[in-house]
Amino acid sequence: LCSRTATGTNAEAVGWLFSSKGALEGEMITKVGHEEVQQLLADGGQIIDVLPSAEYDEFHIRGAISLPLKDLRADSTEGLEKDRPTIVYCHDSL
Amino acid sequence: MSPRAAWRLESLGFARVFDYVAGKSDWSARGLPIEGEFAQVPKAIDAAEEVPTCRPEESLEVVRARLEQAGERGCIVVNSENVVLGRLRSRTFQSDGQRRVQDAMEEGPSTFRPDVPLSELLDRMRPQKIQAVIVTDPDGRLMGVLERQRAEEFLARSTAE
Repeated sequence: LCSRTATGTNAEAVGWLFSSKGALEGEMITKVGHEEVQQLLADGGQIIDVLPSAEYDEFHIRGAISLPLKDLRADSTEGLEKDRPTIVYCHDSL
Repeated sequence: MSPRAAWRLESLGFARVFDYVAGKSDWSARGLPIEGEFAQVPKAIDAAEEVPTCRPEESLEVVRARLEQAGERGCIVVNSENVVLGRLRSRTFQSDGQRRVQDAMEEGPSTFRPDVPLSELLDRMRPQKIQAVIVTDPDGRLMGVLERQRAEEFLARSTAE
């Protein structure tokens, strides 16, 4: 339940959307299912769990990196490779 | 939450960002590999076994012969996508063998996800004296059958370890 642990406001979300280079250029984030995730990981992708750390500790997809949404900043993502396919997930789609 | 995270990463310069919208609950419910505290909990998929299947258009006679040859008594009815449609119990085969499976099967049997903790599942099976349950993924595809006896033994071994 993603909204259960959401920490940002709608205004924040809108702000990110319209400040995003991709959004301005009309690009879209690609939604994927479990089969595509498996393929992306097999092809060298990285996967990020954006839930709070307590929920990450409870369980997470094998190999996922914990990076809670509220901590997603330029400095916190320095250890990640920006050219690799990057998958994000939370709990579910509700 | 994940859409916002995806957009934020994209704005931070990540070239190819993908949003797994169904999230970790979907991943776990498919029995795919997880890590963390819950990963250590014995689950339905850990003790589930393969089970014979048949198709709805087959005749009972053909299915009965196949099961007898394999030493089995019942089977799960699935379609071409391996989605569970029903169940055939041994007593079903006492009826007219010319009937089709789809006319004789128990439709819409209860199913459970592979990541249901064994202890929770057994708590539901024991009072109702349920001997076996069907395990499917979120799309209804058959993953196996969990027999209560086997589940009890598996859980006892896990607890002892």
